[in-house]
Amino acid sequence: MTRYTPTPSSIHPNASGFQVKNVSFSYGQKPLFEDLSVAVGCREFCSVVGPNGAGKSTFIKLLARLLEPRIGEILLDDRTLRDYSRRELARRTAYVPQESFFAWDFTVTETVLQGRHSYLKPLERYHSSDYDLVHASLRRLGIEGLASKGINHISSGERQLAVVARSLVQQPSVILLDEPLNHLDLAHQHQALGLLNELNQEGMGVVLVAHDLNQAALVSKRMLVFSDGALVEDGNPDDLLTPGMVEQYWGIKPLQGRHPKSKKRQIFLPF
Amino acid sequence: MRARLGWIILPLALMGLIAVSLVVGASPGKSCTWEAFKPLLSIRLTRILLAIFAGGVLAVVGAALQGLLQNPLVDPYIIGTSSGAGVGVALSVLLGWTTALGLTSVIGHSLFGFAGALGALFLVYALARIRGRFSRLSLILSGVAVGFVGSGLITVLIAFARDQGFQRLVYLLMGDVSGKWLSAPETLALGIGGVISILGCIWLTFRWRSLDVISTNIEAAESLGVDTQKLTVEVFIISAVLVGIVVSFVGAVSFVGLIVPHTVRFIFGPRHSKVLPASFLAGAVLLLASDLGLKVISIYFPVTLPLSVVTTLVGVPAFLYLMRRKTT
Repeated sequence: MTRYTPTPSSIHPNASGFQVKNVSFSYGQKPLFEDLSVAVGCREFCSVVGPNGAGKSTFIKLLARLLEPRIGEILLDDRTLRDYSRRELARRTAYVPQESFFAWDFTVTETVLQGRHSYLKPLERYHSSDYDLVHASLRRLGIEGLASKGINHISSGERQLAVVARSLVQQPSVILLDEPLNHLDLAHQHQALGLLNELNQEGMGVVLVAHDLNQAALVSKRMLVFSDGALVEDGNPDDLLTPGMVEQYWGIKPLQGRHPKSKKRQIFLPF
Repeated sequence: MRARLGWIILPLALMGLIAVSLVVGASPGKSCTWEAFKPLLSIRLTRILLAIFAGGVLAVVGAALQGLLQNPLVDPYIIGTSSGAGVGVALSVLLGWTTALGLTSVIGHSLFGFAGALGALFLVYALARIRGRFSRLSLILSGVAVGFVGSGLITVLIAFARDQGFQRLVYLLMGDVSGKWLSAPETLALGIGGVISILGCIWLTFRWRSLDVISTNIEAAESLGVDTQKLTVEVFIISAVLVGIVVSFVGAVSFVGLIVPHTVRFIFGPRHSKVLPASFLAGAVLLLASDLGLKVISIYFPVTLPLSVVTTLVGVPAFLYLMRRKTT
């Protein structure tokens, strides 16, 4: 049997990533982004941080075209997002929501299989290669033991891992994650972050909305800081993560130190 | 295992019910000759076909709408289209327009029923649409509202009906697969309606994977490649067409579209590639069995009850049971 590993698909060799051009967006009357421009390359590991309500989730929903900009446009691989069909987009980008809901109790395998939707015609059955991808993906997330369990009968953390597995079988060139670690225990957080790191090294772009600044600084190579609907900082996390920056946008003055192993900059609550 | 057993039992049950339904019915008099039985056969066959097609179609539409709206408590009644179809059919019966237009009455009722269903559908759609998009909750709520308005209108129309029209309306709106309103040329209309319904059911079944995927967050479904707005419009319109046809032939039979898909999911699992075809079979079985029950009752008591009486008496307890299971 061929060993399938879900890696970024090789069908977009000249992928260049996202270009956000002069985007404005608003929820009803409340403007969130005004004239936002930023480029996110398709090989980057980019973390998106900021206080609550800063627009982090909105930002990656715009990238996933779950929301449309009011003004301006977003390009993916030099083509405006509006020109992509949902299917095309699903083969290039995957989106992992903060929380997932399932109306019916599909098994974990059935749920992850749904990640193949955009590759199959309406009447096509799932191929054995699709199943192979699913099993490989479950194995990478360390949840192959849950394969035949009902998706509503596992813990919320395990469910989140299954959703990440589902996004991997989409074989995207960029994966967008909205605070995926919320429900995960320490071991699973470690595993998930390690996996994202690995995927990035294999060439997959990662855009990770994170609450935990330290984790974001440990794994990402670029940090976007949002505050009040504006992109306020953009750079190397090790340069950005200073008590001054945190105080400016979060309003508390933390202590700082270095990670014992990687020597990266970390912050601590001032207790 | 349970599923495999289901695939064996359902067709067997259907065939058994067809056989029994062919034999049971208003007695052909004392003589049991083939000559006396022959005219009865075609009446009973029509009745059987009507029950199979109505039950099957309502169950498939129920399953597709439940899948689309991610809600096990949705049925064609709850989204308002069958009330709309009822209003259309009632108007058609009451005004007698259709015969004036030179259409046979059932074709006319079908057209009116379809128009009513479509009208209700667009009303629901327009009410639920907020800033260019709609949430599935607002769809359900608008559906319930439109459904109530439709029921009110139907009551008004019935109040205006006289004698034969009244009786006919009551049966049409409560469900009746006896086909006794059909005249010979209308068998053709029945055939056309049947073919369209089957095609609609097949079309809905072809959407099985999208219906599977949409059972998660709407945003996740979109990012997995499902155009949710397009799918919603498609499933809604096909449902309206099918419900319009069914209501104009056999009236609004309640609860089939609700209980059957839920029971089927329990046996066959949630995948729509199995749920939709199995719902057709199970819906046909349920209606055929209910109709058989009615026929048996009418042999011993001199009453003809509308079909919805049986399906509702079975359906309401099932509905309450599901509701309690859902909330606890």
